[in-house]
Amino acid sequence: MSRSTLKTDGNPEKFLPLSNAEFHILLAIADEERHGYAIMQEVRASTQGVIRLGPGTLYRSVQELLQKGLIVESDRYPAANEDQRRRYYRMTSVGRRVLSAEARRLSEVVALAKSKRVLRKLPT
Amino acid sequence: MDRWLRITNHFYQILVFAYPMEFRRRYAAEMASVFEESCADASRKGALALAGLYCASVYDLLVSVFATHTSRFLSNFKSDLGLISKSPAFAAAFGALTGNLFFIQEVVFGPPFGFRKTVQEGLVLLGIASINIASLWLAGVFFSFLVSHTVSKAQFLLLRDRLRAFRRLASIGIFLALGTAAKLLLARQVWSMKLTTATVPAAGYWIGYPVLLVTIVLMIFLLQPVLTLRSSKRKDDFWSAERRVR
Repeated sequence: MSRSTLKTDGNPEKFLPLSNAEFHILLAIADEERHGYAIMQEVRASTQGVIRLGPGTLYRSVQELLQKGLIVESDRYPAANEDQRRRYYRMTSVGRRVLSAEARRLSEVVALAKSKRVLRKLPT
Repeated sequence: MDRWLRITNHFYQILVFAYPMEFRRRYAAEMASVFEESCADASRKGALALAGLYCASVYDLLVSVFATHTSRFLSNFKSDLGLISKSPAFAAAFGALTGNLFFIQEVVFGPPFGFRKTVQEGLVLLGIASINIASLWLAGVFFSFLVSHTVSKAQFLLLRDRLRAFRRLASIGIFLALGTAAKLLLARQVWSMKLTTATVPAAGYWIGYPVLLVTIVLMIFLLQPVLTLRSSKRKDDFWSAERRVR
């Protein structure tokens, strides 16, 4: 039994909390499979440039996510006009469950902050 | 500009060698590709953007190299301890290693954590510990070579993992000894001291103790089948490894 299969049998809560980079990488590939550079651009765009992943942090997190079985390498190959070193990654069903569990956890943190009057109004 | 980009891309590929080998084999090409695309994008925005990207990339590389090595070290250390604790032979060897690390600790800390000693005595302790650890490390290499030529593949695979674990732990000891030696040398006390024959043990002591230590450890390795009790139903039984493979 592989390491990822062992872990996927369990509760997604076991993977929480995700690191900032892992959470944003999962968000970036939630809607479609992407390669490394596309993940970097998506994270940067979705956070308005607040989070900028470097290649080292990106692939260290990718390695962690692959080992946990939250993402897998896609069968898709780069097009002829693309860099052939590219590899595409997609989320697994466990990854999706873990992502929604983490999003729920963060929303609870926001709710707590609101209840303590730390955050009076959600930014729009 | 294109030439400059090519040079920095090559330079980044060299820097990637700082990552552990397994990580590098799997991700180096992708990382280089991502870096090249980032540079191409930044160069279109101007020299300042490119300079910012270089600084961010170097910082990212340093942090991630450190994090990757640390997590790999901790993961190896955890599995090493697990492997070694399952075998009496390796537990004995690990004990010998720890005993030598105690010598080093004595020299590193001194009073109030260690015993009071002169610099000469400290150097002697360090020298003995270093020779012992190096002997154990070499014994691990030799034994690995020996079993690869004498036992079956299944038995060798089981032993190989344990020997690797042992050698890694011994390597930590060697690094500690080197670090301690550097500390003593930087303290400058070493340069002004005078070694007398009274403070340096006889040559037989330097050679005899490591030889005795390695012999004991190797004897325990050879007695491994007896110590793990062939009749037991332990999952990591040396002799049952081959049966499980069959």
